[in-house]
Amino acid sequence: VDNPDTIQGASTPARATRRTLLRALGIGGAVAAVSVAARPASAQDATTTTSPPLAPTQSDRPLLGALKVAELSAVEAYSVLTPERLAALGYDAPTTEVLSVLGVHHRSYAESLNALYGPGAPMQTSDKVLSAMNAAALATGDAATVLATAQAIEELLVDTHLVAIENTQSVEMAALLASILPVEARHATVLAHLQGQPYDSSAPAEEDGADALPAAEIL
Amino acid sequence: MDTDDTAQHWLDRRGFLRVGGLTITGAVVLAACGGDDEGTTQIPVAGESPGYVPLDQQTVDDNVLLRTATGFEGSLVDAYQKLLQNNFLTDPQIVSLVQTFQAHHIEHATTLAAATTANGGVACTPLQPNAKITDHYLQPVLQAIAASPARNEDAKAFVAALENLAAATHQALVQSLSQPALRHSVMSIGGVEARHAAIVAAVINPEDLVGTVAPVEDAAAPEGTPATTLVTGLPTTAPGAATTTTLPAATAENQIVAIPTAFGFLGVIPLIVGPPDENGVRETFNFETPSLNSLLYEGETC
Repeated sequence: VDNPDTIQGASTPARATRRTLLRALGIGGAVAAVSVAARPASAQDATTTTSPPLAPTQSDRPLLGALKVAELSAVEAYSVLTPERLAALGYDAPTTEVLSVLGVHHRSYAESLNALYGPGAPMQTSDKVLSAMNAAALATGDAATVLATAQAIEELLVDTHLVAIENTQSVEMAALLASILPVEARHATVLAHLQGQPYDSSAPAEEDGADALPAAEIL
Repeated sequence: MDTDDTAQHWLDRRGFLRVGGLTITGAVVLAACGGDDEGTTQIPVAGESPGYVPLDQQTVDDNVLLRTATGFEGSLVDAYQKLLQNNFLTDPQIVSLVQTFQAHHIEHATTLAAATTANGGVACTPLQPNAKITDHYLQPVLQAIAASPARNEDAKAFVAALENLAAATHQALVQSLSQPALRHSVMSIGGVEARHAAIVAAVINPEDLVGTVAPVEDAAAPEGTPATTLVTGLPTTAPGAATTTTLPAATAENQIVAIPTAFGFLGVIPLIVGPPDENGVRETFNFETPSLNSLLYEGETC
């Protein structure tokens, strides 16, 4: 009688054969993959060189920590630009919007640097950095002084990140710094524009990193 | 002995499918084991076959990336030259900015070419556009702008998009370059490209300097935004005046913001320019950072 039980029994040899075939194919594929992977590097690609490290290396970590401290210091500096203070300085709406977003952006940068660093990242600000940023002027200066000080802070951080990129081995860290630097450059440019500074042929064609904060001085 | 039972066993549906499966498998194996006789591998086609030429195996290394960046700067210089020569830009402030940008891009190309040579590669000199980018990306936009009834607005949006693309291109190179010194070189340029994007956006759209998370289509044009209205004269069944289409200013359809995001943006940069179609819809061009099909490989003409 042709019932499910007999079909199952009759087909057993065939199923065993198919499994055997698939198993053999799997083993064969694995062997082939291993043999390809085990080829000498020179045989795979004559131009292959050592890839740069993805994650921050031990030598990158002090710089990464220093950059986080610099960003935290910027957050601290901009924290005095409260809505009340900005209103008292009499800025128009676009200027107020720009000055309000600076601290928010730098907090984002500090958090991203912190995430890349992992456990043990420094959590403090730096008096040296705050002094280099002339942060006190944000609290006490007039409207023009505040704009000029904010521009100087952004330029300082652009230079600092540019030099850091050159001293970073990690691809992920360099990519993060490369995503921060252009926006800080935008901050500085817009702040200059808000002060009426022209952008013309006198503007430098390239960032030079001349005013970068040395990592050793940040910590 | 051939009984009814055994006949049933051979003729049942499962048996039939099993035999059919074996036949197909056998045919596939035989086909795979077939020879590569010249003349028999061509799939029959009607007309003349262009044939198939496999692409050369190309290596993407630091020099290819630097050559591509050099050519990209050349494409920007070329695009700006066409904007200026054809008087697509009428705003003197933007014209002055574009002239400054153009001078910077020439310097950038020089720097990148020098870096290529120093790294042992063949530099793209003298400066000329990356044809892959210019022909396939930029030229169609320029043609759309030429046909646009709002050339000045479209040209301004184009400049903003190009500078955003330039900033993104250099930023994207950082994660592909293997040497920290080369990453530094491209970001010393990328920072300035970002400044270009910021200043041109601040001039075009001074009231909205900081971006929001709202998508472009949700951003309503503010009251009093300049617009261009043109009479299209399209056939209409409605009585009254001829149909008209209102073209918004560059800032209404294109998100032009000096500080659009907290981090450098590497996504698609949309640009809406050109004449409207019969439905009033204008073409959207999507800009992306150069990838495999836009790279200037070693041995290729710059």
